[in-house]
Amino acid sequence: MQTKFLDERLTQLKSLIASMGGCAEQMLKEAGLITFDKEADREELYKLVQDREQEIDSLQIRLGKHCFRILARQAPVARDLRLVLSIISINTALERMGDLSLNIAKKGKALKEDPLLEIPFEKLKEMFHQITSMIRGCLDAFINEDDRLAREVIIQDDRADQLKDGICVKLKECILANNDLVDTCIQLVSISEMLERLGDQATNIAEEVIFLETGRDVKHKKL
Amino acid sequence: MMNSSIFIEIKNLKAWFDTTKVLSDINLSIERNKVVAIIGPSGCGKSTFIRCLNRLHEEVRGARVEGKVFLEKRNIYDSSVDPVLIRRNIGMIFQKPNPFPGMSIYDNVALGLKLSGIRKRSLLDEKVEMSLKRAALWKEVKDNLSRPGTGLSGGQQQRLCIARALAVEPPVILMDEPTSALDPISTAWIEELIQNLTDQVTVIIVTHNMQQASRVSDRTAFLLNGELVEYNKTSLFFTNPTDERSEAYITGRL
Repeated sequence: MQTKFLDERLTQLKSLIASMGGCAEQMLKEAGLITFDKEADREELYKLVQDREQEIDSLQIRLGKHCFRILARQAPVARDLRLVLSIISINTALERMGDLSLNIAKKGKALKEDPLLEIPFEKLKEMFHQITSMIRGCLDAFINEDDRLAREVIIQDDRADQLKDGICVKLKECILANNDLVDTCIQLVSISEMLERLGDQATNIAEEVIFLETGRDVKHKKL
Repeated sequence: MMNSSIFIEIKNLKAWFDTTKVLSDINLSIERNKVVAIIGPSGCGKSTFIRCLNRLHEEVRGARVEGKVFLEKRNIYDSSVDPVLIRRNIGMIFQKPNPFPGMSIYDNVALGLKLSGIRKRSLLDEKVEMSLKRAALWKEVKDNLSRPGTGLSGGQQQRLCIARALAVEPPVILMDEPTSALDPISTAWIEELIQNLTDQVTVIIVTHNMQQASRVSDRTAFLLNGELVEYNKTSLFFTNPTDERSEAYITGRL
């Protein structure tokens, strides 16, 4: 039966998104270990992050082809159509998340510690947790078809932005206290900005979930 | 009170074949110069519904209609209304093209005009040309208007039938699966034509092809077991229908 065929294809798309999402979550976790864990084998972890980024890229291509074929051959409508359109957007968001996590890992690998940087490091760690929670939340919202959870993720984005601003203020203070820390502080600013962009991508995914579940486009609108 | 932009208003329309009720309490408003698609599974009452809009349903033995259909402000079921005049003013295109056999292309289009009293050859020529042009057939037949209409291809015959309907300048054209017997290219011609007609005509089209409904119509009405389940803007109906039964039908899960 045609509908069963389409259902199978849509389920396949969702499981590919789950695989990509899993990769993106792991990458951020590993980038966090590279940045904060003194005992971690940074080189080994970085190689792992690189492999996952390649896996995300190949999943992105596969998923894109599947979506294209479904649109061309099955002409989905209503929720099926919204699902395919959402998946196309989420696919792009997850691929960008992969790129951002790889860049965070690269910067994290080169970081040098200093007692003066303890507070910004702690704040950055908090931001990592916040973004990890947002990524998990938006993926759970998608898999469990939960637009309420998606809305919570969008609300969390403001907190992520505040954390980033706080980190930048602290880093400015550190630079003023010790000019030797300029390079490291710039790296930390850069990491916090990439984390902020990861949060934005999680927000994009959450907005897609709301569109999928309710048919409402909430982009650039108040919830 | 009828909204001024409403051109056709259907109120509590019910229809029967003998004792079998095939339409229950349909209420629907159609704006002028819009395309409305009627969709639903086989036997849901789609064809009966549009045949009630030009009083064709009552021509079937044992068939009966109740309710009101206002065309502008006049109820076409009013006892003072002549059903023959209604059928002349509301054109109808059927699934299978039906040019008048034995008649030329010209005569097929001119017949309705002659029946309405036009005799002057130059006026007939002008209206035939205009109708064939509006039906996007003129270029293909202008050099041989005396050919029999039945000698044209299926797609051309259907456009000839549309030209024939347009000749008498009806405000409404009803189409009952007008492309189901046509190939994709002829179907595309007819669909484009439908869109172009809306500068002057209101079109109500029954179709089994949901992509077609989605492509050509402004609004879509979904009928199920003789009831109107949903009547919505087509752009909403096919992306986010409000009724679960509509969603189930258009996604093939009903």
